[in-house]
Amino acid sequence: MFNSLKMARLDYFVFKSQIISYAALILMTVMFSLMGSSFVTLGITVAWFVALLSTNIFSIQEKNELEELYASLPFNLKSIIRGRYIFTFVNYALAMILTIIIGVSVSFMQKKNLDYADTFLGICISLLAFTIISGIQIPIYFKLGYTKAKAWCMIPFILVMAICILPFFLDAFLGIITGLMEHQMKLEIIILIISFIVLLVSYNLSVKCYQKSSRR
Amino acid sequence: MTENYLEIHKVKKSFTDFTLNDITFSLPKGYIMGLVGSNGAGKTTTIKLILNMLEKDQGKIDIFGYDSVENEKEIKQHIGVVSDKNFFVDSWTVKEIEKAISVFYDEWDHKIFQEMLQKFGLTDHIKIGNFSRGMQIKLMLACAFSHNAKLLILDEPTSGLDAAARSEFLEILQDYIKDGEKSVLFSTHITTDLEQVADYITYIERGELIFTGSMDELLQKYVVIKGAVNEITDELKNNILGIRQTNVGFEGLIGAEIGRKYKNKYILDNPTIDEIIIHINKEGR
Repeated sequence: MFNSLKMARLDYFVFKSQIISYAALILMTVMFSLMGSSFVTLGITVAWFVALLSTNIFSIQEKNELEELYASLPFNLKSIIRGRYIFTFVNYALAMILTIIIGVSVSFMQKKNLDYADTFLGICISLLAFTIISGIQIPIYFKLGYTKAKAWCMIPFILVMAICILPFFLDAFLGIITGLMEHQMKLEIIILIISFIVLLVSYNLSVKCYQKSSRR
Repeated sequence: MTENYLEIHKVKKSFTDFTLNDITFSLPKGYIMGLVGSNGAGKTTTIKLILNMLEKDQGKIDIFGYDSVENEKEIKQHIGVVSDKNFFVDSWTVKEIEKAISVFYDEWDHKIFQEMLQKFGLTDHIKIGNFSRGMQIKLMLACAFSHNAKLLILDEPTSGLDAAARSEFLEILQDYIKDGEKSVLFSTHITTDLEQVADYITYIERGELIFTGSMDELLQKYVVIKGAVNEITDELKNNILGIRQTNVGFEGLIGAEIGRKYKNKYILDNPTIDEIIIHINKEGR
């Protein structure tokens, strides 16, 4: 496990030059909060943004041909993959914490009451969206490398976008959502379980894909 | 630790259009082994198999007496790799490299790293992307020396270096192994470098092992045979490898023992590694 944490730390050093891009996320979060957007909207924005940005690490890895660096260091393939997942989710978690702080601060400044239920639901939905997008993307990046994978990796974004706008077009779907919302806590638990399962499946897929990858 | 730092036994790896087949060789402690072969012979594939960048189809690789896959983390504590291209992020400085990779090594020595930087004339606040090729090679060596690497794996490290830089590099290598406790696997096209430093040679051609053994054994195994065009006989043609015929004469490689039969009739010369590779490669086409 320690090697995975060291690998995640290495990913941070690799990714360092891209951190400035998170300024755009901070700006968007402040804007949406001031506009009174719900926490679900904020959460999905964070999920989207971090999923898009954090995969730049695969681009840097490919551009600098870091496979040889990884091969020279004393850890194995699973540590590389676990470290990448840890890095990606820590990225997301920190962005989410920042978003919550900004959202709560803006609510406080606007003298609005904080809707805790909406906040927690937003966090869960955001986590699910992020897990689905990253869970699909990461194995594809490990298999194909950044350049070949980037077109395919738009698919999870489109999928999540489609799920978000479906309720507006399908009354039946809206009905299901409304029904689920009456048991919000159960819904949140189900979301967390689904996120965990998606993560597990994604990790195992990544191990298989990277092992068989011809790029190594 | 065993006497052999690296043992490769009947390793096979197949791709769609290429197969590395039945590769077997050993690198003893305290020596430099050259890994030679023409382009696409399988040298880099062999190195990738040693480093677990590829999964072998068959065979066994032991490093320091331990299985290279099962004990990968422990083994790589004592392996240093120098590649033909810089494998650090271009935007990193030397200081950032140390911060990024030193945590992985139990025996990383900051003092030795600083000494190496000084010895090699590397400054720690310049970005790696701005280093010359020679400086990048020295940096990779500095990293390898700083964690007490006992086995250095070099994949074409001197390509792109001028003669002075190559000479300096070879001196560093000779210095590295002089305590008898370290070994080097040196894959290169520049065989004149190996003639200066290598004790052993493994020669791979088109995925097949042609030779593995001491440098002297390889150089004594063949002779270069030359003569006039009208002197060549059918018997000789059958024995020559990679014959080259021009208007004025012929040249080829022949086994040393067979060559002795012809010593009074033709010119026999000691071959260089290059000549062995050229003629065997030509023969295989």
